[in-house]
Amino acid sequence: MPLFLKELADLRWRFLILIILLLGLAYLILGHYELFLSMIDLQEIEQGIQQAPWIKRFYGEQNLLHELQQIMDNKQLYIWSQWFGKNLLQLVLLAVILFAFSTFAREREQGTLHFLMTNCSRKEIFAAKLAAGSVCTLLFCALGAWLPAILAPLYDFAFTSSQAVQYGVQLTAAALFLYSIVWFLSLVSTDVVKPLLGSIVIFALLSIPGRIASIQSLYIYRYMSGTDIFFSGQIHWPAILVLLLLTTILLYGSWKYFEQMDI
Amino acid sequence: MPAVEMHDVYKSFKNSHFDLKIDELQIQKGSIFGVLGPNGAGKSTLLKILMDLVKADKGQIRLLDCKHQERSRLQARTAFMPENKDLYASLTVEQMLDLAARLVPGWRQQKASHLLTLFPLRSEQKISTLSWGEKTQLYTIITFAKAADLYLLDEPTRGLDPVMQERMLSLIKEESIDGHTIIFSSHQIAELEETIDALMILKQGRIALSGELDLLKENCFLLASTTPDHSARSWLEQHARILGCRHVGEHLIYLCQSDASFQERTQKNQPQLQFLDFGLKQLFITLVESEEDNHAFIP
Repeated sequence: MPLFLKELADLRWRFLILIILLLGLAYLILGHYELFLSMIDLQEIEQGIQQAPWIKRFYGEQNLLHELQQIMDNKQLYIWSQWFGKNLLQLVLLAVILFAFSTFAREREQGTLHFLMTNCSRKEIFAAKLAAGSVCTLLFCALGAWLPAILAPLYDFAFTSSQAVQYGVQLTAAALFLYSIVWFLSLVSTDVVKPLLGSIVIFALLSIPGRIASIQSLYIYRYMSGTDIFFSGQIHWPAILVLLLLTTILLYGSWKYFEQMDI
Repeated sequence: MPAVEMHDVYKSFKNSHFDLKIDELQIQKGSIFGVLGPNGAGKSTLLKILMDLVKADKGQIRLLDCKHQERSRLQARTAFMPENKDLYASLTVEQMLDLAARLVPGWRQQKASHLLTLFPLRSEQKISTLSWGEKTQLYTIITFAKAADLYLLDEPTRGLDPVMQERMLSLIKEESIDGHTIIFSSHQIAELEETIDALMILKQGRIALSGELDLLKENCFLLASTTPDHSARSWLEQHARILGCRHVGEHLIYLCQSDASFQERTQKNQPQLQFLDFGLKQLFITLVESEEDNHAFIP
């Protein structure tokens, strides 16, 4: 327990700053739909289309403007795309990196792992570090998924608590998988720069399946943003199970590595 | 009763030619055991293997009657001070001691307070601003505030001023008198000589010499041959074990192991061989600079 509290204390500032960012963005995005609408000038778009006749060839001018108007009027689509599909997703990616990248790498870089390993067992260290980072990730995802439900009555849009649970489950499962990747990178690195850069590269690579139709099912950000939930109203359970399985495998591999690691 | 037993222990490293091989080693409970060796001889690796911070490839190790991997049983009974005295740089001395009080099993607050009077540090000072010597003092407080039976100290006096060095050595002696076993490595041969009961000299990952210091001084001889003399060499080979041999100017210095009558017999038969007074430093230098590959265990 003392080690777990020490790990939580190590993460407290990062967690607080991320929570403030999360709340600020939620207030801006979820509470200011009208502001978003006022920023889009349909007349300007219309003028733009006039100057680009090729758009009209592929897509009738009236149809395009009509559909655009419909999209802008769809508050549900706005909440999902701007919150779950964009801002929360990016914040969770940032949070996952910040919660995990220094877990072991900083201790190794600063040489403090000797102090820990002399006084605590490898199992205790592994469990405490994993628990602290996971708890922060879980809380962050849960709050992020629940914020629309909390703010819905205040800003007059529909978002139920059951939807929050659905989005939360999918977001958390994907976030934990990404967390375990960064955690592993931190474990095998002797400085904090490698896991930081490594996770950015891996996260960028993970977006590739999103651009290739035949491997869309491997596109993890689709599950994180809850695309399936928005269109079908259902959690994508097979994806959740696969993600949890992959997370378990990665964490087990990390433990085996840590168990035999020379300090 | 041995506090530490090592048998047939071997450790190699990827991407390194260095390997450590300890065929047999016993360290008695309540003793102060010194580990000597040139840089890169394997002293820190040996201590880390004992603490299970580095995993041996093979071999049997027992600490305090437990297998050394049984960390749950050994955690509270062993304390370790690493070569680099790194602690959490962002904390103050006081915060670090508070953290240690919560994390270190068998923490003795009274002992910590007492040690803080011996090694005075400003409690509000950040660890990142401490000098090497001050970090060593802080690590000493944390190490010895733990009620351990076995203390492993990797260069505990490095960077300390003479006053603090003296306090450290007194502390080590006190702990030994209380029945605790101390193993420490150092390059300060003079301080080792006045503190330790037994020692081991490591050379290129192998034990070059080990045993109790008093017996070692009784059974080892340092001789100088005045001329390049094959008969002297063959005499020594027949009547003693040559542990080391090195050139000093035009002289050859031999380090030999034999019995008590060796000196008398040699002086009678090989008068050109001159017996030299020696201390641990001469013994160490002769062993380390020698190309001989013999090693000795003097129980």
